[in-house]
Amino acid sequence: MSLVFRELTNEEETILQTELDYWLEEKELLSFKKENSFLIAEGKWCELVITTKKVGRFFKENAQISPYSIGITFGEIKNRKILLSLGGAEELCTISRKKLRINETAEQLFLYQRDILSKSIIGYPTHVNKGQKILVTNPQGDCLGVGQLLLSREEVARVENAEKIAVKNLKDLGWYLRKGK
Amino acid sequence: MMKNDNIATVLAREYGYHIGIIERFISYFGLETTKKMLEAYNVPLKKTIRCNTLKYSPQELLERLERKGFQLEKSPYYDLGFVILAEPFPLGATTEYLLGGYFIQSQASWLPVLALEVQPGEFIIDFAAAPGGKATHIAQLMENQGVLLCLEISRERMKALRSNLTRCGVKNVITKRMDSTSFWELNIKADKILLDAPCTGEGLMAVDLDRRKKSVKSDMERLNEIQKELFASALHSLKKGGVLVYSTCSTAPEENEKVIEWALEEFPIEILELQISNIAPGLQKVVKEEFQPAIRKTGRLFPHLHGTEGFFVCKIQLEEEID
Repeated sequence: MSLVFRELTNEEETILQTELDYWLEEKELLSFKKENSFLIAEGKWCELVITTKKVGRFFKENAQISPYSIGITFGEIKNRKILLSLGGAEELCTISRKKLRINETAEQLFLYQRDILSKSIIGYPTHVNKGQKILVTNPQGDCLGVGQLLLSREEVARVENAEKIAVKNLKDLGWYLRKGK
Repeated sequence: MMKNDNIATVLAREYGYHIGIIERFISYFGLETTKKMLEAYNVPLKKTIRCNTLKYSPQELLERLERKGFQLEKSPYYDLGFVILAEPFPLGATTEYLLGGYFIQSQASWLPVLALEVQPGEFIIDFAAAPGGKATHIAQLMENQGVLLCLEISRERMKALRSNLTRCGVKNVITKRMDSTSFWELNIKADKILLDAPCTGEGLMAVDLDRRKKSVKSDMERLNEIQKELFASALHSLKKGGVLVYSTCSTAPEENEKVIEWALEEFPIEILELQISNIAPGLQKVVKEEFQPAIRKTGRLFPHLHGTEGFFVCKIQLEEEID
């Protein structure tokens, strides 16, 4: 099914703003929006794509192209929420503070769709709460995917919770090996 | 002394080739070069990667992969390229690969993009873009600025193209599934176009052993027509002064020098010098057919001279816009 690309409606703009407000501080958010252009790719699903301002303008001036894709898929809009894609996660990772750092052993397991044990966490941010989403990185700070916190910072710190699952794997880079080819 | 046709039979048997291929090699390159080529095609190509500078510097990538037990050395052809000497586990399974830090790609594949002399901010079209090796290379040299338009005819290959572009962090891109021979009808004019044309793959004998047994004659005619149609469409889609790089992974003059000779007669174009060192010049003469002197500015890679697959590249400038 071919996608139809269009600009965001006011409602979709609000959904995007809410998502970006969650991940970014005000200063980072302003520069992120200034540098990038967002479009909707509508087909079976409603995808949000991120591209450069120049490509955004080029598309508007050359609508006869009927693209297959533009830029990087930032996420899917579903039930008035954005389900962040791997590309979207990576775009945010360099500037978001909501990052959880895991050790190298857990990095390999996470890339094979495994959840993260409490003992594998080597850096837990201060700006998040249990139940919230988090960007997962390796010790070098590379974005490995997206997770959901099942334990709070205090719970992770407790020795008796070492073997408990602290983060549920929502999306990981191993997708490129499993489905991306 | 054996006649060339007898020698062809012997060589075909000895190296496991279709006799027609050997006969063509001998008539185009001579017996001695043919023997050297056949010998070189029996040596597996070195595995090589290109560092994606949108993600890492070459030094950072080198250090990361070495920490994981890989042994690499810098490619003699390109400062962003590495030759893999030891691979403790598959190169396509490292975190750095999944993060788009590098692309597994042959050394010859870097040439057409280098010939394009990409500048950030340009509008560039890749006329046959999947699976995205050259497109992601162009994007990194564009520094994610300007506009990169990737065309691909195959629905299946579009998925791999999109996946690779995303993995490599390419944001300045639009992809379109279409037959590029009709792109000119959209009346969109680019600064530069890469046409890595579909070809017989006659330069890939080291990689694809099945190819050695097949006669290329019928494929050659069909592909030659497509190559010329793509070439014409590309030239119609360039701005005045725009640059087209044409390349194939074939050693066959029919797909290379002869296509350029045809284009020189049909269109207002000029062949530009390739700013690439260590490359062999294009053939000046094939059997009894002599080409225009400018064809010498085209470039060739030979397996026995360069340790790569057989490859052809040509850089062309459009002198007058074509309507």
